[in-house]
Amino acid sequence: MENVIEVKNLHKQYNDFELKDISFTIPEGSIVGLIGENGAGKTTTIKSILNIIHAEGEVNIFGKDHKTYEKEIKKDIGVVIDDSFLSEYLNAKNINRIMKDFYEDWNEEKYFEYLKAFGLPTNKMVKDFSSGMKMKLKIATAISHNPKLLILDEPTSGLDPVVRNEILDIFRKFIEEDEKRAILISTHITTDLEHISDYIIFINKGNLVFKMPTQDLLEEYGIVKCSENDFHRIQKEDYIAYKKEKYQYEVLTENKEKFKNKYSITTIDKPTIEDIMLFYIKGGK
Amino acid sequence: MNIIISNSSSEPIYEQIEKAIKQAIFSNELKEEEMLPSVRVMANDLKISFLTVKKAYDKLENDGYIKTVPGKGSFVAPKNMELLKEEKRKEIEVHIEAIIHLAKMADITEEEIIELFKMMFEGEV
Amino acid sequence: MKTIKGLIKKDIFNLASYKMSLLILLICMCVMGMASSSMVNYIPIIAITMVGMIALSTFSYDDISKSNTYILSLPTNKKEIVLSKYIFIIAMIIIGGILGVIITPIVIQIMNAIHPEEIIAVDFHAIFITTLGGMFGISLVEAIQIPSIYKWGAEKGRIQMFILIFALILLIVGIGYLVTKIGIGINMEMIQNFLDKFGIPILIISIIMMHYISYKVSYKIYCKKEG
Repeated sequence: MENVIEVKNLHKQYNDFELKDISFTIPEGSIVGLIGENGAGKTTTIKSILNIIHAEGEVNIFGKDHKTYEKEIKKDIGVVIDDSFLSEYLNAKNINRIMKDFYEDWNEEKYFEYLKAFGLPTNKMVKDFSSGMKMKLKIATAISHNPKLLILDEPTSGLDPVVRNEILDIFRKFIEEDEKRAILISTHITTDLEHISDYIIFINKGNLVFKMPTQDLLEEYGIVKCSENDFHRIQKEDYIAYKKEKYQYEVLTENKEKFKNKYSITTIDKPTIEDIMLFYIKGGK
Repeated sequence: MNIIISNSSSEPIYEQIEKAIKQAIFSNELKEEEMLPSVRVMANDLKISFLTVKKAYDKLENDGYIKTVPGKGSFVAPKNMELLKEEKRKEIEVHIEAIIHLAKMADITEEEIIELFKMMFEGEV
Repeated sequence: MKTIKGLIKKDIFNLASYKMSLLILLICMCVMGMASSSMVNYIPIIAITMVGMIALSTFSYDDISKSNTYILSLPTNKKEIVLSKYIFIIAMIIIGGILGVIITPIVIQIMNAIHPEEIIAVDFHAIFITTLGGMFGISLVEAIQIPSIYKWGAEKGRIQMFILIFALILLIVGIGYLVTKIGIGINMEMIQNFLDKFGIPILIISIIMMHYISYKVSYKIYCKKEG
């Protein structure tokens, strides 16, 4: 399986923040979620990959360096950014006319099909769209030129559960159509990722904490609930972090089966991705 | 074919998928040589990661239930009666162990068990 | 390049959403020009100034829509983005000039119809000079304006633009006043002949030069900017 994106030692220095040693790959056919607190470095990472901001390190997209072949690469990428689009003063028809000039592979027919399927008006100005409609328009625009890669920054934020689900289905369909495509989704709404992502990349305070298959996080990780006495039995190498609550200790472990067999503690719950994030960020060791 | 996944079950999801597909093969819902949905399609339909479905498919292939043709897809393997029997034999062994264990707890003899078994088996058939 | 066409289309469509107000602006322009018979020949300057300002407003549209980040994710680059703006603005200045030259005689005819006692002649020479002057003046303003918009944003740019135009008018009036004060016998005929012969080539060369330098500066500023 080829890698659609390869990031090696990405580094970006700001006055009060540093993104460093970020390395990961996005394989073909995969949907990868990017999670982390606000200001952890998710958007910086995405903007660096797209060369919207300048960073040090190596980034290859479709096997080519992202700076040298920038224009060529971007022909095959669809991007959705939360707070930025072409213009508030255009309607869908105008957007079509403009996009035809940007993308050789712009498929006008497909674009209008998507608009129809999403229930979007063609003559209304973007500024008069609801936030859900705006997002669907951005997505329709991003997928109508047959891109090989979708990069999405907060594609479902501020949307109600019904619309969020519709949008996730759009992404699923997108990757079903062509198994060589890939999607990178940066989001706070980790519950969405649980039902769609194959891998999760977690960035915390400018560092890459892990890139794990979603199924491992949900099925092999476990949150152990135990007494203080039991907690003190547990060796450091067998857990990632712990939280001291009023009536119990909560411990995050990478392998709940192994843990169960070693310590004979059976009160182990399946974690959500949010749980795991919070343990890493707020838990002690 | 029904594949019913429970998130709260202690059984890993890939195993649940595996079992469901095996069941469908045994009950002839999935016929020999029939093509299974692609890994990605099934993952999307179940709203889970394709890696989970892939794990299930890989195990099924290892155990001889399906065969994957690169570039084409996964197909139900010709029904191997031996495979079926072997699989069920293993499951039965586990149950027999449990029966023996229970019997020992109440001093029930081997003959009594065999007697009980014959009665119930004939009742079923 | 097709992508530059796309960027310019975006600017045109942005402006088109206000075609009603643009039309009203145009009418106001003509009315202003009709204020007095001597003002009539300055219509080209008004036309070019209005068109120039409208062209600059496309930067505001980009700022309000926060388009810059998204546009950088499209298959284009900063060079094309800056170039498209300059092409658009030069085109607008030329359109403004043509508009002025066409409208002025029309307005004069209207005025003549309304005030048949005060017939104004269509002085093509005067119109020609004011059009040249207008295009030159506005090009100068834009050439200074655009790099500062790239440096400090469209909001601050708007105030600066008014100051610049005001300063330019003051300068011209000031020079004119000084010249009459000092009493140098400026041979208007000589100037007219000079402009007739060399006006257009000088204009074109200086507009191109100003915009070229301005473009280089803008591009450099934009490249340094993040996002």
